[in-house]
Amino acid sequence: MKTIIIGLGNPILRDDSVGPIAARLIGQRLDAECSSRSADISVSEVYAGGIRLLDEMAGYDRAVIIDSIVTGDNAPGTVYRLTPFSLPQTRNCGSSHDITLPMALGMGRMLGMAMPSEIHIWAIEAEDVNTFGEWLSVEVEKSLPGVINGVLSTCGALR
Amino acid sequence: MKRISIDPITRLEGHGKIEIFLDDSGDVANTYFQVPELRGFEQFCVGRLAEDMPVITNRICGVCPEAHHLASVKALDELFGIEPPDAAKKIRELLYMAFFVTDHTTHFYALGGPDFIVGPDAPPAERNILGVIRKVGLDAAKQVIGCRARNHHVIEMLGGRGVHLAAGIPGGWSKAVSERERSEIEGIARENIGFAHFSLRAFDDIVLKNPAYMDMITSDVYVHKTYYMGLVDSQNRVNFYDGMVRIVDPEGKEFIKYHPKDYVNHITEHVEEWSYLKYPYLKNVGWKGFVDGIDSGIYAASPLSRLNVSDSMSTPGAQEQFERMYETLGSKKRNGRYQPIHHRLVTHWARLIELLYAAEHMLELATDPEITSPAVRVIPDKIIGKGIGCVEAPRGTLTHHYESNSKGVLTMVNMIVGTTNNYAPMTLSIKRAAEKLITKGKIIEQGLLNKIEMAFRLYDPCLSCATHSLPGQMPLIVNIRNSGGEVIRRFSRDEIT
Repeated sequence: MKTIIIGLGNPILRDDSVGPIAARLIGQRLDAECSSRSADISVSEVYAGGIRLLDEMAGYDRAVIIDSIVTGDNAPGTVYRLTPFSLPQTRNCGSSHDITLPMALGMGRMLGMAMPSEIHIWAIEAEDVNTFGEWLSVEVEKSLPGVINGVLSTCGALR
Repeated sequence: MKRISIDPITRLEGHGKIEIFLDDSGDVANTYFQVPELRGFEQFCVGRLAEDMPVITNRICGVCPEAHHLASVKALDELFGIEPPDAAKKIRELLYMAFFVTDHTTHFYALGGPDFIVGPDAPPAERNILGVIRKVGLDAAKQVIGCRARNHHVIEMLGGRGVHLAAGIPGGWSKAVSERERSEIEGIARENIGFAHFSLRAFDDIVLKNPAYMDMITSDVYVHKTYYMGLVDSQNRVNFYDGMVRIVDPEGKEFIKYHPKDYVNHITEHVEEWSYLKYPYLKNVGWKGFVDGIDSGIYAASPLSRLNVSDSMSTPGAQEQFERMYETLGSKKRNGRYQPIHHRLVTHWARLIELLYAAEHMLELATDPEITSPAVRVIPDKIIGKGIGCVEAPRGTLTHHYESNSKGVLTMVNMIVGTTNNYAPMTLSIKRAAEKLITKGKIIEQGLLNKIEMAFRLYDPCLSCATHSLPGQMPLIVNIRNSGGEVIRRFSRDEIT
C-alpha cells in the first residue's frame, strides 16, 4: 500500500513543530531499516494544510497526518487518533486561507484525483503554540515515541 | 454597552475574533477585530547571523513564504551594502510573479469565489470551493489546480525548494537559470496569461453582468475613503518587487512618495487598550480614530490600493483591464490619473487584474535575454549593519528591517507585514457591515456572519505572520451580550462547509 506520512506544522513555533519533528524521526527510522516494508512509504514535512495538503496526498493509497491540536480538554501530550471527518480542526489540517481537509478531499474526488482511501490523523495536544522556538514542551516531547511507533505500526512498518 | 462577539472567524488564516459593541440605544458603537499574538519572533532572531533570515522568515507563515524570502534578501542586500546583478533581480522577480499568480488564484477561487461566484446569500453549505466548482465547471476547477501546480513547479525550480525556498542570498541568487528552465517557464507564463483572461471573463460573466452583484459592490456598505499605499516604479506603475512607496490621498492626489528605508518617518502605530493589534497609520496625517476621510491617517494596502496609487500598469492586457475597471466604476481622470475607487469589494476585481499583470510580466521576464545570465551573485565584502527590504506581498506592502553588529549578528528585527497595514481599514469595513445589520437593538441574523466576514475577507488577511498567529479553520460562534457583558443570545454554526 503506497503510503505517505505527513508531518504538519510550523517548524519554528514550539509545540506546533511536533508534526514535522515526528515526521523527521520517522523518516530516520525508515532509512535505518531500509526494509521492503518501508519501501512504499514516503515521508514529508508540510507547513500548510488546505489545497497544499491535497497536492501532497494525491496518488497515495494511504495518508497518515501528524499535527498538533489545541482542545484545552486534555493534558499536553495527549494523543488523539482522528479521521478527516471526526475532527478536522487540528492546528494545520485545514488552511483557512483556502479550505478544510474534508473540503480538500471532496475537491480532489470531484476532480477525479487519486485520493487515499485511508486517512489517519494523529493529533498531539500542544501546550504552547504561541511562542517562537525550536523546542517542544516536556509532555509533548514525551508523546513522540508512542506516536512514532503507532504511526509505523499503522503502516505495517514496525519490526 | 452591549457586546456581540463573533469568534472565531472562518476562512481566515489565523484565529480571529470580532467584538461588536452596541451603545445604549442598541446601535453599533464600535467593532473590534482581535487576534491572539504570537510571541518572541524578535528574540528568536536576535543573536543569529543576519544571512539566516531569508530561511527563517519564510518559515513564519505557510501562506506567503516567498514574500518574506524576498523582503528578507532585499534587506540583506542593504545590510551587506551590496547591489545584486540585474539577472539576480530578474530571477527573484520571475519567481515572485509565479507566486503572485498562484496566491491570487487561490484567493479568488477558494476564498473570494464562494462570495462572488456562488453568491453571498447562498446557503453556507454551498458557499465553498465545491460550490464554486459546481458553478464554474470541472474543467475550470482543473485549470485552477493546474495553475497552482505549474507555478509551484516554477517556484521550486527557481527557489531550490517548494515551500521554504532557499535560493535567495545577499548580493543575488544562488542559482542561474538554464535555457531549458527558461523555455519551460516561458510556456508556463503563456498558460498563466490564458488562465488570467479566463478568470477575468468568469468575473465578467458571473459578477459584472449580474445587477444584484453590481448593486452590492457599489452600495455604500463597503465604501471607505482612505489613503492608499503601494510600491510603484519610476513611471508610477504597479511593481510588486521594487520601487518607491507611494501614498495617495482619498481624492487621488499623491500625498507622499518615499523610499522604503524611510518608513519610520511616515508610518507609525496606534495602540488600543483592548487589542494586541497595533494599527499602522500615516504619521503626518495623524490618528483620528476609526474613521475615514482626508483628515484620518488610516490607509489601506491591498490589490485595489496598489492600483489606486498607480497611474497605469506596465503590461498591455493588465492596462486594458485597469482602464476598464476604473471606467466601469465611474472614476474620473484628474491630472492624468484615475481617481481612487473606494468600493472595497472591487478589491476582488483588482486582484484578478494583478493576476494578469503578474502573468504578463512573468512572460516579459522569461523572455528577457538576461534571465539566463550566469552572473547571479556578487559576494559581499562588508557589513553596513542596517538593512530595510520591501516588497508588495499579495496582502499588502511588506517591510523587513534588520540591524546587526559589525560581525553581522542581528541586534534588532522589525517587520510590518502586509495584513497589518489593513487592520484599521478592516475595522472600518466590519463596522460598516455591522451597522447595516444591527440597528436600535434589532439584529438581522440572516447572513450576518457572512456579510461581516465578507468585509474582512476582501482584504485577503493572513494573520499567521501579521500577529504571528494561529492558523486553521474553526467553527463560528456569535455571542450577544447585554450592557453588563452577560451573554443574552448565542448562536453558532459548524464550519462553513
